[in-house]
Amino acid sequence: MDGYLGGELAIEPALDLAAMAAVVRELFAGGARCREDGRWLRARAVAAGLDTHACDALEAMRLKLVAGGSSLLDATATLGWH
Amino acid sequence: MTQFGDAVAAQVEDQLSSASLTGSYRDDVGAALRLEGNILSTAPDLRWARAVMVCCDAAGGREERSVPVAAAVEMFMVALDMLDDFEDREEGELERRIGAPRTLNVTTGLQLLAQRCLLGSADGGTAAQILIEAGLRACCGQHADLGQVCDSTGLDGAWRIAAEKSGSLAAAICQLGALAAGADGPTQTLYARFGHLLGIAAQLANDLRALAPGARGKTDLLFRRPTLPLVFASCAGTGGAGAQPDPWSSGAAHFTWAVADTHRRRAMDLIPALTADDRCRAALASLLHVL
Repeated sequence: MDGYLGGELAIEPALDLAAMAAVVRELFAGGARCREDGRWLRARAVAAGLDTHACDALEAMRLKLVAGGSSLLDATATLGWH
Repeated sequence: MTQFGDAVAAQVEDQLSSASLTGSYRDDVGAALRLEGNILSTAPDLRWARAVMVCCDAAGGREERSVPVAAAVEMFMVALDMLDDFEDREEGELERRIGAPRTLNVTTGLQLLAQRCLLGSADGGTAAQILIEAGLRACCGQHADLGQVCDSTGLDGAWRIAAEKSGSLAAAICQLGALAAGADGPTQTLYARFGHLLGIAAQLANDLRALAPGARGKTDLLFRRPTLPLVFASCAGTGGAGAQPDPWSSGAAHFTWAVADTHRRRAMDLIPALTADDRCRAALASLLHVL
């Protein structure tokens, strides 16, 4: 048996949560100008060293933020894993 | 899926009837498994069983090989859900009926029945080891979760709790599906990686839903649990010292959603390495519909 048998599974590349959080804080602090400008968010995320998936996820989040209402919760959908 | 669900339910019933249990204990264990959404209920959601089956299928195994493993996983997860209710100080339906001590005793039996079921399956020893190790990781995450509050847990700490609580279990569930298919070790590890990402995304989505206005049976805000959105909100210092952090105005909910979605995207990236079959790829992707 040479498969995984418990222990920690590394996430690679490591996700820089602090950098991602900083971008989100700036987005919220920046008001409508930042929220409505996808180029600003992507440039900021790239400058923070975030990978493509994190950048794409932030942009998807921005679109839900602009859409407002319950779009974020609606998008946590269905399976109810816990 | 209905046929598969029926087969899994029959396997669970077989475990219940073949184990040496008193009638009273068997009835109460069965009652737990018949609670809404559980495997012996009239409308089981089968989310854990389905993940086992989809991974077994994608790894080249026949559906019936995944049935005993899926049955074990369903029983194991019912036990963990009930324990989670205790730990969150939420009175579940079975506890209302038979009291806390007997309900706890039922959770013990469910965990043992799950191991009994696995040990009777192909590669049962390895399967049992995988689930036990994952269960222990989940206990570590839960222990940290219950012992900390959001104000004293950093973002990385909150992420680690989510990874241990749910990432480890989902990793095991997906790996068990691959093991049931007879996949080799490196392939099983790939499935475990897929499940790990899936489990983290799902946990973060769950943490987010717990903050929805009027969320039923969720105590994260009340107990200032160290979930990623509450840690973010706490770090943001919204509301002043001692105030409940506001996860919506601070961007915490949106941050958490983006982190979860990053994990989902990474899991999607892994799918081509898991199977070349388009139907199986679509089924694996459907497991990621937690966001």
